[in-house]
Amino acid sequence: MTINYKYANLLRSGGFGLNVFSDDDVEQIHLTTLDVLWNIGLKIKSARARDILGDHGCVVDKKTDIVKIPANLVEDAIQSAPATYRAHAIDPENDYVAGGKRTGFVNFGEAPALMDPMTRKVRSATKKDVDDTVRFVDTLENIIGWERPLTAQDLDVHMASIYNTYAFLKYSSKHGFLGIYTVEDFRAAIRMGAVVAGGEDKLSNSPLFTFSADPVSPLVLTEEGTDVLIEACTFGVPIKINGLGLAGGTTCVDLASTLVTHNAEVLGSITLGQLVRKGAPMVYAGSTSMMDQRTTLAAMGAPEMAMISAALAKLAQFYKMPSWVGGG
Amino acid sequence: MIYGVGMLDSALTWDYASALLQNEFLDMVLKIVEGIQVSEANIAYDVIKDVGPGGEFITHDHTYKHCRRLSQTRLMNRNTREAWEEDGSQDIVDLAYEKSMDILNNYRPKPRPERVQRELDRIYAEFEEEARERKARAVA
Repeated sequence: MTINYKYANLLRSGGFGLNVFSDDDVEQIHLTTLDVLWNIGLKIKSARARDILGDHGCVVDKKTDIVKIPANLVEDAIQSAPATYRAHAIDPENDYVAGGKRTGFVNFGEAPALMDPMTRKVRSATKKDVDDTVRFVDTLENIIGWERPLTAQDLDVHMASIYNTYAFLKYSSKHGFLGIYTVEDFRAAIRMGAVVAGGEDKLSNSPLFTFSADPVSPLVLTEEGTDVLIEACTFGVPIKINGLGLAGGTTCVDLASTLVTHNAEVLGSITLGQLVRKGAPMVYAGSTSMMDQRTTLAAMGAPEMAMISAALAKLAQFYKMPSWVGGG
Repeated sequence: MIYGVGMLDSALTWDYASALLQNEFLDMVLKIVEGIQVSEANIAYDVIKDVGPGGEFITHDHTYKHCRRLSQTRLMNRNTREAWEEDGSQDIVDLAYEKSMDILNNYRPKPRPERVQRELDRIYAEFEEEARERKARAVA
């Protein structure tokens, strides 16, 4: 035994991590992004979004749909976007609180086919397979939410998206990460979600799912994805802004530059979302990787993707926002 | 949040066995991310003193009490090759498919209240009907 004593101002290392950037590196990416958003702008294909941004001081070119966003709006949005959000699970035991340096894993989505576990042959996914993945992912304790792994091929694209929401709400005990591509899919998800949550107000306060809006690189926000973003922020469903650049293809071959355009797409979307509703929960996300220069295919397991993912998580921490990135 | 579990072919093919294996690899990743937690309790000075030079920790109460702090495997096999061969030399991928089938055949989530199920079915059917009508109109 020893004499009782206390430590003064003791710092502990809380776990393993990576140093991706210096503070100056992050600052430079940030400042360049603000420059891009104001002097180059984003092509925004949603008229609703152009109106909202125009009303708040953005410069909208009616011919090209290019919207230039002033730095002060972006900085305000970074301030008002929540640093954390609770990914409410259907069974509250499985809630996940996203934000800061907390790290959780999610499955990959969304494939048209699967390896049949009985025959071990690749075949098209059906509705029943979608049901099966919900039950299966429910048993994986390291997976913090169900992202729709499959698109049922026995349905048209539109119904396949609604079916994923339906199967999730029917069988899962986790939070859902859903692909909602049209305002109609959004409406279906809200109506069905309200049934499980016990009312639209409850769903709005404790959303059981997170949606995703995917900008198109370089520097384009699509019409339907952006309209879903507006609806989600209005209702209060958290939405990921998931950039999908491919360095050497749709973004610059230099990764620092890829980060700047990715950042501009995400921050532009977040600015819009925060103008729709201050404090709307949003996730800084990315599936950005590189295009293999020989095959011209997206290289999902490339070291560049690992570096970009780590860098995006760092940027999200700089902005005090939860992040979602690809693990390959 | 980091996504990516369970896919083959650049995310064109879902694979249960790969999801199950990766879920287990994540045990290891999360273990590493947790890092080495330094604290008075974790330094366990008194245990070191108890065991003393040349002693052993295996039978110490502290080891027994906290043995689950160390990583454990489920599908991965930490046995010797001899022991693995004696047990039938099962391939880890075969084992992962076997466990996947076991989950798919036996895991039943708690059903939602019947009222909720009926309502979900009704709303889904409504959208299905709308989609059918839209298609019929498009054909006409």
